[in-house]
Amino acid sequence: MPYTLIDHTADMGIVVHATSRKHLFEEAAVAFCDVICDAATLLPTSQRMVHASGKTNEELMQSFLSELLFLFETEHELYPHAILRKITETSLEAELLGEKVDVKRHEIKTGIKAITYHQLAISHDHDTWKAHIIFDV
Amino acid sequence: MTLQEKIHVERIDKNRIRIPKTGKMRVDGIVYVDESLYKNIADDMCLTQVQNVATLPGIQKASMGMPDIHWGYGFPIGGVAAFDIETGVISPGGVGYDINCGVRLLRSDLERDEVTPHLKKLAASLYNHVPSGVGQSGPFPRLGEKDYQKLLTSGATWAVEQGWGERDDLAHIESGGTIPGANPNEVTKRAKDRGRDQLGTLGSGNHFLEIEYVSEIFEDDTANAIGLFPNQICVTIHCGSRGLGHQTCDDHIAIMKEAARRYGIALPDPQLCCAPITSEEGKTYFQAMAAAANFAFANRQAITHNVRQAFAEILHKSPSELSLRTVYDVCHNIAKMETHHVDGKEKRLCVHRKGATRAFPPGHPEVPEAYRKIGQPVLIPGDMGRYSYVLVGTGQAFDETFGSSCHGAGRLMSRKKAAQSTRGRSLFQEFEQQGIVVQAASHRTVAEEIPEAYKDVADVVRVVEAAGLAKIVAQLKPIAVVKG
Repeated sequence: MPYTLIDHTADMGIVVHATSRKHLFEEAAVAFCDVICDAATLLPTSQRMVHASGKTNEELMQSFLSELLFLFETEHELYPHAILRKITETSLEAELLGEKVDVKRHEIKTGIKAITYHQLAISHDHDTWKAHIIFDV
Repeated sequence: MTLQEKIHVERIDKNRIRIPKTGKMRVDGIVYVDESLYKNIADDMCLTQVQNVATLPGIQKASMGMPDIHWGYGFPIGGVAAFDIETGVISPGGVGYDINCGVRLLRSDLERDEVTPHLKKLAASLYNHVPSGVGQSGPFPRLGEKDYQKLLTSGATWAVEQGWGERDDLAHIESGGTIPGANPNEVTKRAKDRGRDQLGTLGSGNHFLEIEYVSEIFEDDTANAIGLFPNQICVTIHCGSRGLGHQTCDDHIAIMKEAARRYGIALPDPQLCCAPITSEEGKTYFQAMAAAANFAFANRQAITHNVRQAFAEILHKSPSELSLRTVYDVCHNIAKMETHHVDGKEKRLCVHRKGATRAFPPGHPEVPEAYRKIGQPVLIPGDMGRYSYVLVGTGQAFDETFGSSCHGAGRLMSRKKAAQSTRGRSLFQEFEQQGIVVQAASHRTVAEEIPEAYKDVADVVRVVEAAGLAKIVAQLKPIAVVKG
């Protein structure tokens, strides 16, 4: 799993790694879902499109993961598979594949209140991209 | 984030340290910690955060930290900062994502021995009546726009009007269960959608519903005035504004980041994003925050109703026999418009309490009549295995900390470490051996919330009392805990 958990006293964070900017967002979707529930148990039976925007990579990431959080809270759906159909410097459009949470198959590990701006950082060195994200839990 | 440089602190007395005003700080920082609590935070970013808050325009007296201080987003958790309403700023970071996260205490006429034989059934019934955990829908109908207009304006009053409580409850809630000035139209559709089916739910993480007994009384007359007696069964509810509040904070952080830049407010940390209280952005944030706070009040009222239902169902007693009455309900993530004395003058201030509880003194008109002689009850929850405390506010707190006190214990251990430390342990059995029944939606949450993950709240309230901010009245110990 190309992410690691950050050891944060009060909340929870992740560091996501990828080989491209587009891929970073896709891996972040997996990591987000995996923090909540084992992403491997989520089947790609439902499909949605989401749009996100932000002036910086960090704002774009916050906006994108906030869309996933919104779907989880309002529809009880988790989408670990994100395919970025379009991405510019300040926006993205992603096709999401996932499913409604079924408590018989999905053990919910953690609740996320918000994607914070706290230590939110996206960096890259050639083809190694990294995102540092803290969730308020 | 870079590690903080060593901050120069001076010890004022056994219970307080000062961070003297330097550089861009407009006031000193004052943190209420004794030597032992100071050791926990000496290398914590929270002292830098106290310094940073002290740079904000219009801040009055001092940038303060309560004994349970630890680092948060921008403002420290356990932070208190008051701003002149004419010249000062308001900041979502000074309130927190969970707007009006708070605590309600119910007292009953039951004693521990009457409830113990029914504890497992009672805990199960509470678990059914009060959904907890992630992604759980509430037991009440989904909220429509008409519901929201009234609920977000009047908070707990709306819930009582639905038949979910008594007028007597309202008399025992901070601000009567309604923050004035709320504007439902300033809460976005996204926030409303998140909260739509969450009314009556606890949420997850460190939120809980707990049955406890009064294990020790420290001030007999005060406990009597509050209605507490030894071995009495009480119930504590700890939760906030759920997704509606979290989203409201998120919505306004984005606005405030831009506003701070436009108003030329220099921010040592972008998470201190803020706007002048009198600006459009400041006003709309306050109106939305107040609305979200009212959602939390309504939520704790709705949960109270279902707690009463669960008790009646299992114990087969009438409401008057149970007498499950609200002792008090406090906010610990909020910004309030209050009148305080600063340099001998009465001033209207916007007091931010983020992980801090109001602790108003005897005689204050905002303290319910029933408590006006003794001071406002201050409810301080501990971890799920040890104890919680009831205190009352003092005149000294009103003079020194804008009538503020701590809010809880604060974590010692990360969630990851806590979960790792419980591998191979049968947690639910361990709690049962201690006489505590645990009902939880997620084993993982219980693992993350084990007592060892938290500081001892007794150390925190000891300093609160020693510093004169509040007086300890009673200790409560858990016998059943419901968690998400």
